[in-house]
Amino acid sequence: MGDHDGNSRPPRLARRLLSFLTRREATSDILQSLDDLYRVRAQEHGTGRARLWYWRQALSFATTWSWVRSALPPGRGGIPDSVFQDVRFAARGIRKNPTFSIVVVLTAAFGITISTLVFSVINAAILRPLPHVRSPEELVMVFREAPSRTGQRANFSYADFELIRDQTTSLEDVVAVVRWVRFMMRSGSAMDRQVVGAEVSENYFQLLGVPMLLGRGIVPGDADSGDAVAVIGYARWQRDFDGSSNVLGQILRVDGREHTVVGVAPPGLNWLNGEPVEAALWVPIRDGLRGPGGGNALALAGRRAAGVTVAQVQAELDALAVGLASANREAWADQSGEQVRMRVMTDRQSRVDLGGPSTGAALMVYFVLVATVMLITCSNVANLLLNKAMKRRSEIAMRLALGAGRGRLVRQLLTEGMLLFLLAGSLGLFLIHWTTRLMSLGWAPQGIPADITVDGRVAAFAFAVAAFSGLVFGLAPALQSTRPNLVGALKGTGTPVRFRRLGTRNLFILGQVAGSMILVSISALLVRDVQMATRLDVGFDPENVTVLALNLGHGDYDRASGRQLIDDLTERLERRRGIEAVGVSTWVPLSDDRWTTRLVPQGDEPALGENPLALFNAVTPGYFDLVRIPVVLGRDFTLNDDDDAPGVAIVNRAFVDEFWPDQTPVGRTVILDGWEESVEVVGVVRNARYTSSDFLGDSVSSHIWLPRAQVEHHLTHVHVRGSGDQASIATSMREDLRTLDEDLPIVELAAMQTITDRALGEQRAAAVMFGGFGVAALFLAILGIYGVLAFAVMDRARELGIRMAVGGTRERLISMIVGQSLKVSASGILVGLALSALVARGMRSIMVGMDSLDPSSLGASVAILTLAAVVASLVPALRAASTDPVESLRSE
Amino acid sequence: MSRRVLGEIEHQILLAILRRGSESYSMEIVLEMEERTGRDVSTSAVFIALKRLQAKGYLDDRMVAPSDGGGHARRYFRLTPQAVEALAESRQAYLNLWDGVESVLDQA
Repeated sequence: MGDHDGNSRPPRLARRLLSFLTRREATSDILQSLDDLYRVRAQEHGTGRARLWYWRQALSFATTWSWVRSALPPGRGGIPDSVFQDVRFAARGIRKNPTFSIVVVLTAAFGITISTLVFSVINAAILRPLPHVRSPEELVMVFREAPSRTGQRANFSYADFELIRDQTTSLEDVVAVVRWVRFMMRSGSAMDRQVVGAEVSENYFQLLGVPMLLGRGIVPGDADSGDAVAVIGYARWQRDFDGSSNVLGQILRVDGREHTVVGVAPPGLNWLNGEPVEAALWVPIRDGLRGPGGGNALALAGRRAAGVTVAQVQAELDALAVGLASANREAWADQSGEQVRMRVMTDRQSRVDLGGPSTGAALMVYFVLVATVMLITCSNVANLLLNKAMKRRSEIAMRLALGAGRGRLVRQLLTEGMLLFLLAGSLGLFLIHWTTRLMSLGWAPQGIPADITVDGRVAAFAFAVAAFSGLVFGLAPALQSTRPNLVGALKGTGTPVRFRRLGTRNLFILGQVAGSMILVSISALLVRDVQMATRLDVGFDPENVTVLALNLGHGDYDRASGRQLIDDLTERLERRRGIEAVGVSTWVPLSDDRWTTRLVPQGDEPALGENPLALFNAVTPGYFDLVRIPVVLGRDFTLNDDDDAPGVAIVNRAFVDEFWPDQTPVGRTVILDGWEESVEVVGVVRNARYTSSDFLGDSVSSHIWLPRAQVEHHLTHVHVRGSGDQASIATSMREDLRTLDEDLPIVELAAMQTITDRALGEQRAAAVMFGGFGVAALFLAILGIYGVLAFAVMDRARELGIRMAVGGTRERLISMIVGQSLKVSASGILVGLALSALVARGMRSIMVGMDSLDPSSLGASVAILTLAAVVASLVPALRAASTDPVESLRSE
Repeated sequence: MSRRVLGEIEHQILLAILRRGSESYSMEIVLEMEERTGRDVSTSAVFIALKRLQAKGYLDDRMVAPSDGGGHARRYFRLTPQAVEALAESRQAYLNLWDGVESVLDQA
């Protein structure tokens, strides 16, 4: 579609507005005429300008009383004429002062947009029903959990899934999903890239009743047909295939295997229970998971049969679990012997239930952000409205003197404020609509739902916020400005606006300064927290280490050939100049991966309900030396610790402290979950930080390592420590791999520092976000203070002129005005400081590097706000001080 | 004296229809006005003025179904004899006002 396209259509929203306004006209020619005019303009000037023109026409209709009146129902719906008069008067006032109106609308829109955007994220993640799914209220999620550990959910095996699917009658059908699967995908000649998707049972699309955008979903028979199929997600389709219908039949290489694209899913479809990421890819559950060694990797969901309640489903599954446990105790009890039960939840319940304590803290942080941004922007707007009203006080005084009711005047002024806020709300929705469109095309930040839309709930929220803010922050200026000194106002001498009588204005300034103080201090705390956290000793040395991440499952490797590949690669790398050491592990500490295992340490059999866990990794001999984790007791692994040798392990200090305090760990044994034989501890290493939660508090996770030769796992991270340039080391690693295998996808090739920095990714993102808002808030606060002082100084020109004329000095005048600004701001700073301390306390669970009430951060924030108050007052002060007293006296 | 002096936009609409010949569709009226005056025209104001002119009896209209089967019917406007008279009177009023002051424009 070219830019000068006579076939393009006018903007839908504007057209709907025009349709509403002209719907009672006897003929429908107006819309047709405007459509035709639009097409002419699009042809001549381009689609962009034509759309702009169309919007101008729509707004012109919307702000012309004739059209609005004719669109309303007969009798105007019972609304009194005076209200319409107020709206017309307000609209006229807005049109007459376009600059002022634009400033107010943009300021208010800033606050409304932020708060509505946050709400729309919550709406997409929690409130909104699953998009595209048929009757989502009939869906239930099924989890396994031990009664003493509700909240710790476990998945099912494929055998469990088949059994539950075949034996339940309360559920029409049951689907199984492996969620959060990271595929290596290659389309055409593009390089492999990692995408997030799901493996699903063949009845998944059928049960959910999803209408496919193109082609079909995965259907029964696909898994066993021999030709691998895939369904592609909407955003991925847009990004990789430009939304072309030619995508059907295209071949994708997924984890090293060719898949034919059979369908495209509608936008925003994720796998189950509203987890906030649109899936890029769906494939049938792979063979490895469907067999006896497949482990427990499946999440289950079902559709309630007609007339069946959630409680009835729960009751049937409870009975089924008892039967399953008695037939297979080992599979249905955890290692402490506690029987695992099945728990049934509706989709909405499971979404809300997903969050842990950090979700509560994160929600509180968002709430604070929204509330303070709204406070600041609305205070600014209220001040602007008050300024404008004060300029009209002669007119207002005249009307009061001639008998106009104060109530009516207040209502007129309030209507203008409300109208401005509602315009701001509309602008906010418009901005969010475009932001969410960008996000649906795959530009959403990690963790944010990709399919946020402006639905009825979001629109209602935006207008509710706008209306409420308009009422609260429009009322005060309306009341204040209709209380002038009548005589003074009529005489034109003006109200002597003494600073200490700036009651309402001071309140607004207080609100702005307090809000800015909160945002600035929270961002200072977060920035400092990240700084401190990055300085914390992680316990290993990632500098000068490059990591090559592979997944041997993406190639045709079995245990022996996979090991051979890695051995050959290691050998090649060790021969290169500049390479000091090569080591291999299953996962990298502080990365997105981690592996935990349940275990039974010797002499520490768990009681019922206990579930001892430790982090688990498999490494080659020399790995600890490579990453600089010293062995403090016993020994490192050697080449003799191979497949044929007895099982051995190395643990960290935290493991010893947790399970064998005051005992000699070397020589003791551990039974790992799923292992027949126990392993003997041969060494103890110093503690390090392995996950982001290891940054909180003083203790770190218990960790156990096994020799890589004794563990089979596809995930492989080859570490290289070298003295040369990291980029050329990375190139060497890639070259050596390609010499051995041309095709095996590289999951990642990066400096270890880059990978480990991810642990603090959330904290950094929060610091950046708050920092940005802090700067914006500071700017608004400065504007607000300046606005109030500038007005007050202007109003007191005569008085200040007299002061100067009778001997007052410039310096005294400046210090008087600046001093007044500081007095007004001080209360705001104190209130803001108190509120910041409360908020910071609540943020403890997401702070990693330091105590949340860090005095230097809070002190710096106070200094910044104080400086802002001084800067804001300087311009009016200097201007007042440099005015010729004779001129100011004469101007009266 | 009772002269019918048309408002500015009414004057322009009637002139635009006159220029185009027999009858004009509203889109054509707007385009003619824009081309001749060199300014964008508010369609909101034009449609209000069209209603007013019809109410005053200066315009007749008829609906024409779309020839290509697409879109809605379009309304075509035609000047009545009263419209031509009103235009003539309005024109004369402007000429009378301008009389003797054109030279100011040459000096500007």
